Amino acid sequence: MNKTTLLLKTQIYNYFSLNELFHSEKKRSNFAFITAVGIFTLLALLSGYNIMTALALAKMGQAQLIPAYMVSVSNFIILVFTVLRSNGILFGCRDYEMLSSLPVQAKEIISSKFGFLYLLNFLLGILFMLPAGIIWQIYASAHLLFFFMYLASAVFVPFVPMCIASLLGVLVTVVSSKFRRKNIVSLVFSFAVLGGLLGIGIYSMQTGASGGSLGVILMEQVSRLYPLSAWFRYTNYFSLAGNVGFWSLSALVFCIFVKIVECRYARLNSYVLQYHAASPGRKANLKKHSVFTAVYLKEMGRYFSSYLWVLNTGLGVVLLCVTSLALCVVSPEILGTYAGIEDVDLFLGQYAPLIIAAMLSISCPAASAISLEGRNLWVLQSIPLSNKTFIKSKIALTLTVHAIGYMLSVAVFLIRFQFNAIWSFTLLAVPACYSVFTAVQGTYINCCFPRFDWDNEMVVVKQSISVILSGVIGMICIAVPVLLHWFLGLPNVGVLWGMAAILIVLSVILYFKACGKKII
Amino acid sequence: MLKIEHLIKTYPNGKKAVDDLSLSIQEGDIYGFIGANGAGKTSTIKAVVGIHEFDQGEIYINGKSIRTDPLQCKKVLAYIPDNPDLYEHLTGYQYINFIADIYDVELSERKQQIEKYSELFEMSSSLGNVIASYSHGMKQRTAIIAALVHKPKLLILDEPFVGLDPKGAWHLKQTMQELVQNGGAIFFSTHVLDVAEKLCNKIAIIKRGELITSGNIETVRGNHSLESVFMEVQGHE
Repeated sequence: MNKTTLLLKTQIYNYFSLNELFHSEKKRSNFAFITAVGIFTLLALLSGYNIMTALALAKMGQAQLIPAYMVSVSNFIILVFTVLRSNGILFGCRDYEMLSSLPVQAKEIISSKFGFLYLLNFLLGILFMLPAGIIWQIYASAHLLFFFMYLASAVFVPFVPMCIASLLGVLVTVVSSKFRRKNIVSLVFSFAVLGGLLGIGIYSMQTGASGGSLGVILMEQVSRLYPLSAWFRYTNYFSLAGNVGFWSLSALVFCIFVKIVECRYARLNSYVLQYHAASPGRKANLKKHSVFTAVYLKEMGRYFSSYLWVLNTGLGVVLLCVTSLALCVVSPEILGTYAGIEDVDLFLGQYAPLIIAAMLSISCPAASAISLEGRNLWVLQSIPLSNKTFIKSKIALTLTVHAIGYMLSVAVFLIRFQFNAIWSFTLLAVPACYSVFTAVQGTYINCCFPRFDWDNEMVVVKQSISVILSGVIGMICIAVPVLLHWFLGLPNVGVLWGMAAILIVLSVILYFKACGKKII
Repeated sequence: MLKIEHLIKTYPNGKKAVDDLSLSIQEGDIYGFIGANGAGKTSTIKAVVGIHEFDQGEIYINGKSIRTDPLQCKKVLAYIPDNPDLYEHLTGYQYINFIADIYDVELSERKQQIEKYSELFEMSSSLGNVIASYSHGMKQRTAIIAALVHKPKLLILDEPFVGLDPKGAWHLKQTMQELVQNGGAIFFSTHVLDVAEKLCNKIAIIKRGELITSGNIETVRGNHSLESVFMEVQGHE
């Protein structure tokens, strides 16, 4: 086994806790079951969505567009996901110094890190391309050779978006390293980059000015989202040359990027890991706080000091704030057009509380807050701090993060739209109940599945069981009222209030259960 | 001040980390806890400070059980681990202030304590920086200052001299002596037998989880050096 493979293997073992999964007899069955359920649910949701999209294209008579469409979409998703991850996996890892001291070349370290990032993105890409490819094969009866070429392209699809996203990550890192508050600057830049990407995505998928058939319009949109997808039309055997061209170009871009990073890897890591020292002799501004306030402030400081934690758990709140601020300056109709909603008033009249609730549900710092104590846990275990106060501080962190988005969005929605009294009250109460439930369930699940032995925050923030499970529960809680309204025709207000009442009861139960779990 | 009675702690794999260990530490004691690597020192210490649960036995701190009344026990003790992983996002001041808040230390008193110990351990100019920028020794010194900020009655240290420079180690020894002169007690593990011999009035030697010998240092070592007693114990099966 060469060194790159060995490093990659170690990284996979560490990242996915494979030793815990396969060698810890006590936890094994529980851990494996929960992991399997979480992964299966995510796979089912993603595959289901892609199959439905492909079926919709096929029913419009545009089955031949499926390969190009899926390559475009998977490219875009990989781009966004890598922006969220690259600074946790490629740069700023805790193991960098340790690996640098070993007799391995920088090239091997970088290759293993890129290899790992590639592996994650390949799995993500195949989730988009395979199910939709099967639909394409069924509806367009494409030649088997075309189908295999399309599938083989999945190997190359992650290369270009990975390079673009990593480049954006590097730019964010380098620019922010010039500032004293580099985490805040990194966050602002990262959210701006994500906003820009989403903007490009929305703009590209808008119907263009050109007229013509549906197929032409769709092809234009897909090509605008990802120009290289034009090589996936499979009209004749010459199309295969396009595929080979795509493979070659992707591989070339990737190799050049890896080479460039290789030359600057040590410096880029030092940018991520460097700290600006305060002026010598800077005096303390000491203040006395209650025990809860002290732990809460520590928790807030921890949250905002972690670039990866905020980036991955604050996205919903940031989206909510951006949408609310946009509503202040842009008419709802225009915003609706950009979001692909025809009648904004009718849509918000039915779903405004759930939209806010959904954005809050996807922002759950609580699901990873306990695990992120990591090697610092001894501090809390050895001081006179009750488990209850500890749990409260974790819940309070999530509620505080939510409060920013909640207050802004509810105020803007109430001012901008003419809701009646019942709907206004629903708008106030339902997202608040979802917020409380999200905070409590995230904390409880993290109490049940804490992970303290991490080397990279990303492992906890994105991949841990508690985060996956909490995310799935959040999605289910949003989907249930929608499905009840759609399929059973139950009144929206009644369903939302019923759901809110259930969530509050569950929150109370889970809160007491969490306080009963001994963590510290 | 600290009473350990028939402590048994078993690892998840069934191996006994600590086997029927009993010790008693009084006010004024500097109690050294000696043993080879993996002998059970850290397991015992972590059980005493409430980090690890244990299977059998009882631990009393200031007359209260760590099992049933952990908060009251922790209020009188301070713990410094061998490898202090502190909150890296906080500055030294913020970390110490956080600990002072938890122990409800009055503002004037915490200012006085921080000033005293930050000067003693030469950290005054560094406490305004984030802990992430500290060296191992600076983290160790910050952990020491934070541990002393609430004037603990019982100080528990795990290998406290690892990572400290000679000056820092000397100041720590002085501080330990000052604490016991004021009626406190200290229980610490160490590999540095010279330090234990000069600093402690009592010692305990542990081997494979079992207490081999304990008591006044003069009684334990007799006419020999502590090193020769320790080596004899290690060689004795």
